[in-house]
Amino acid sequence: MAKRGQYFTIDAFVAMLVVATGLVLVLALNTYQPSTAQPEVLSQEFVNTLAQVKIKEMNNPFVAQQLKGGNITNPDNTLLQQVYEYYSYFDSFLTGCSPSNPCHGFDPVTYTNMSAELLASVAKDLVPAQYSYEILVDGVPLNSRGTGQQEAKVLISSKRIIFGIVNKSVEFWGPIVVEVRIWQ
Amino acid sequence: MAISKKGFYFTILGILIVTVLFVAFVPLSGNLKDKTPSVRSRVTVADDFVETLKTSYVPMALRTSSYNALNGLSELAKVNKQLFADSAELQAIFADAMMTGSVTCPDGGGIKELETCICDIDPGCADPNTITFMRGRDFKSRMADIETTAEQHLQLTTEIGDSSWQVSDWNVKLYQNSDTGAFQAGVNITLKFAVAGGISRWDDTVEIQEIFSFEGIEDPLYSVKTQQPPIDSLYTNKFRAANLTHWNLTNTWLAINGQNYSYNAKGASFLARFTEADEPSECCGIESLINADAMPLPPITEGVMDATYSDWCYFGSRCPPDTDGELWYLTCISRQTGKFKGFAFDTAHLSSYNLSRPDQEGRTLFYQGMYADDPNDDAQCANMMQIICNEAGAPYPCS
Repeated sequence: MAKRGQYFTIDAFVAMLVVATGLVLVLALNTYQPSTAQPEVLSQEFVNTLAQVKIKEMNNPFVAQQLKGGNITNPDNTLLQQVYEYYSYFDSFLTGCSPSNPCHGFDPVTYTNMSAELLASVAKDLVPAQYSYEILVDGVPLNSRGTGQQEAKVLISSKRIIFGIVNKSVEFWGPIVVEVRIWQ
Repeated sequence: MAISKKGFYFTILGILIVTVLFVAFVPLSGNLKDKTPSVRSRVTVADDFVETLKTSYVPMALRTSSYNALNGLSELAKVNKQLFADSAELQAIFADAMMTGSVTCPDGGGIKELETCICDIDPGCADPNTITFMRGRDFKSRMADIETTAEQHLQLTTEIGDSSWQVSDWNVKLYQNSDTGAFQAGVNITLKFAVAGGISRWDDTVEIQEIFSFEGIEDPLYSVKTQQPPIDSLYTNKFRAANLTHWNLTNTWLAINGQNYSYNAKGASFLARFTEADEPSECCGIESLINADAMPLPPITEGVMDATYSDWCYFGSRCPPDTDGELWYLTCISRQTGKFKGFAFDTAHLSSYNLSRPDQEGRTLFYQGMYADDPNDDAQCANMMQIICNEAGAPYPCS
């Protein structure tokens, strides 16, 4: 009887092992890791392009209009540098002004969204249509395309530090963090 | 007995099969192949950051900190009514101001923020917070900013410089030479940094060199010397490079009117103007012309010329006439009715401004004696100066 008990006990342990293994295998088969290679490359290249391409190198109607209008004073600025200069020296500068009483000579309707407009004019062609993106400058979302960021299965974020000079050699701004989020 | 042995062997076989299936199909984590893309990404981000730090951020911070330090020292010399003793003193105070925003104040009050030092010396300044030269703009603050940002947003631990370093360990050198030319200055610094990104680390010591324009900074030669006898009245002149490619009578008038700066190898360099050491600079000498209409000069006696109206000559002592009494009025400019009445050049300046020989029409461009001795009358002068008739304060109207 004692020997039978030993055998039955061992059998029970073996049975538990088999059941546990079966459960692990079933659960493991349901685990899915989506591919992040393409969004990762896209995110890196997107933020690198924004951080390295200079205004003078661009062939873009909005940029040409800004250069002609004298709103861009330094064509050696990169895109992101120009976006931040618009953000800090136009957009926020004119917050609170009204169309009937333009501040500092600038019509707020035209000038309070310069940074977003610049990003919108250049970014849409840099990211394939099947991807959504959002661009944050110093933590503030300035431009985005698509929805569903919270529900996305894959969201890749890339960051760059930007900085620059205005007023010739006097005013140094930065470092500011720019974040680009890409999802599908 | 045979039956229990069969059961034993089947049980062992079952356990072995289950174990093989388990090992083969359970997904393993910590696989190096799975980690490679993220490792590569981390290293790329860190590498890009190090490159940006060395080639862009530090040079840009060096340029702005140096410009603001020089600007602040010009203001300090002005309120203190005294130039720095020599180049060594300028180098030392510049390094302190540029790196830390603080200087050993000439009022004997020890080390202070540059703004506080200026305000303590200047009786017209009530609150040092109303002026900004280096506050928040010094080099070490810029480095602290990038260290914090890299740590918080890129998870890169950055240390720039060494915690034990003094200002002198950064080997800050302010200079002008043939590379900078007369209208720019250069600054060198030794940069030691370490960047750690968890799996990778960079340690390096590099020499950073940056050249910058000092356009817009007040010339301390004017600021200090006009507060001394015989003028005793503050007059400031900001540095602006003259946009003139050749010299003649009308361009000389423009240079006087604008008080812009042009290259002159016998003049002192812009950095030398911060010191009492008035020496010529072959590579970087500059001069501007004295504008008697804008500046509060002592009364001028017609026919009495006692100084060349080049700034380093007027305020210095290196520039006597090459022959006693050989100073010259300029035709159409040094006139009784002119803005620049009394303007005089020595023989050397007549030559360097192309005024020592007759012009294309054979007209003499200089004279001595009284204003009435001008070899050209009003009609001739109006004709000679027509090209600048649209300038503000032009000596003759357009015809």
